[in-house]
Amino acid sequence: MTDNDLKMFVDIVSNYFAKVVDEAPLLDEPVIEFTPPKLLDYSGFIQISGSDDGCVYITMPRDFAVSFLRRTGEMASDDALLSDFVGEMASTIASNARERFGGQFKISVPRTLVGGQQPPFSVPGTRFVLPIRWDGRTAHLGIGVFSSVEAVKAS
Amino acid sequence: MSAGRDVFKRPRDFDDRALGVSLRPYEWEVLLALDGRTPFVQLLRRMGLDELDADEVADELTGKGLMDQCVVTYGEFMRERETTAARSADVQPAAPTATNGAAAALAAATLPSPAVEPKLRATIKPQPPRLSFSVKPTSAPMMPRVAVGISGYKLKPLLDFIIDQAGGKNLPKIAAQLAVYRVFRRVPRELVLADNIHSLKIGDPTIEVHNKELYDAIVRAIETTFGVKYESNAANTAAG
Repeated sequence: MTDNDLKMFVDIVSNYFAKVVDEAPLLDEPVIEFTPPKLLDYSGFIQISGSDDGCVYITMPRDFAVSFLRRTGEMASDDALLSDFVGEMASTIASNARERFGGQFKISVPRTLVGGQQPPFSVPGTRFVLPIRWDGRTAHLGIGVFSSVEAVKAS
Repeated sequence: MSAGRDVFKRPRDFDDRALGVSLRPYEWEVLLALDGRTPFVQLLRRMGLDELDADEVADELTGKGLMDQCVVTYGEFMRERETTAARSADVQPAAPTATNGAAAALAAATLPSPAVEPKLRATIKPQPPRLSFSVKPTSAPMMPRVAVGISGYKLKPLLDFIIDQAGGKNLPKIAAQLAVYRVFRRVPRELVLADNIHSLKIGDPTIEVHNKELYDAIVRAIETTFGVKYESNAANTAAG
């Protein structure tokens, strides 16, 4: 997976914001994370497989999700709705990625996790985490590609 | 200060306080090894630093505000003393096993001396509940940590080299940052974590690593990722 392939996920998320709330988010200084992902209240994961395997996720605190939904005109803010919203965002990332990658990579159906729980599948140990600031709140976009050692261990 | 049996911990805002402070590498090692339960002298011994004057090191580091002495209230002291007395009556001789720092010091202070003849009888029963109060290391080991201010191998030249290899200054910033990630995902995570780095802020020009093995692994990862040879500049990689 090239830098441009990875960058595409960042572009998809930026475009999603620009289209849905008419405002591009601010991308903060990214961090390379070596410990298990720090997941916030609502997270949406997609898994990638192909020449490289890995995952992309977006995780956000409740107030981020509520604020985003409000901006789209949705005033309700129950757990199910917020979880659906994160799932929809992950789904958009997945379908855009499918469109751009074609048959090069397989993109899974998104999975939503609530309450900071860890995913029930393995996640690359080293990940690129990009803070996304919008409306005074911060979500994180995580991108992880398994190293060859991890891939061998997993197989 | 007589630091021998005293137990120390890092202050809650250790990372902030450590910014911009310069210490000898072994002093950083000592600070990172503080666990809030091992008496200071024992900690130095375990680290092979027993030739150091514990008092001097403790004075220096507490003076800089980088470590705090663990202390207990009177109530905690009495509870721990009772617990320790009950434990030592059951099994002798016993090593200090208290779960927190000040308690470990207490245990060391209240245990009978090794000269007491050991009893051969031992009662096996569950350990009594141990005291729990807030003297745990405040910088939890799993918390993200960015390497700061410690003299070691500077990463900036390596990061610049990665960006050059990936496309140079014309590369969009995010793509350059992703190129750095692409290199680091090849670096054995165990080495990174062993250097106490839990996360790494890509844009931080002060990032350093302290383990030569880790530094070499990063160089190898660069070479593998880009298929080039990295000629290190001694001036860039020199410690300090």
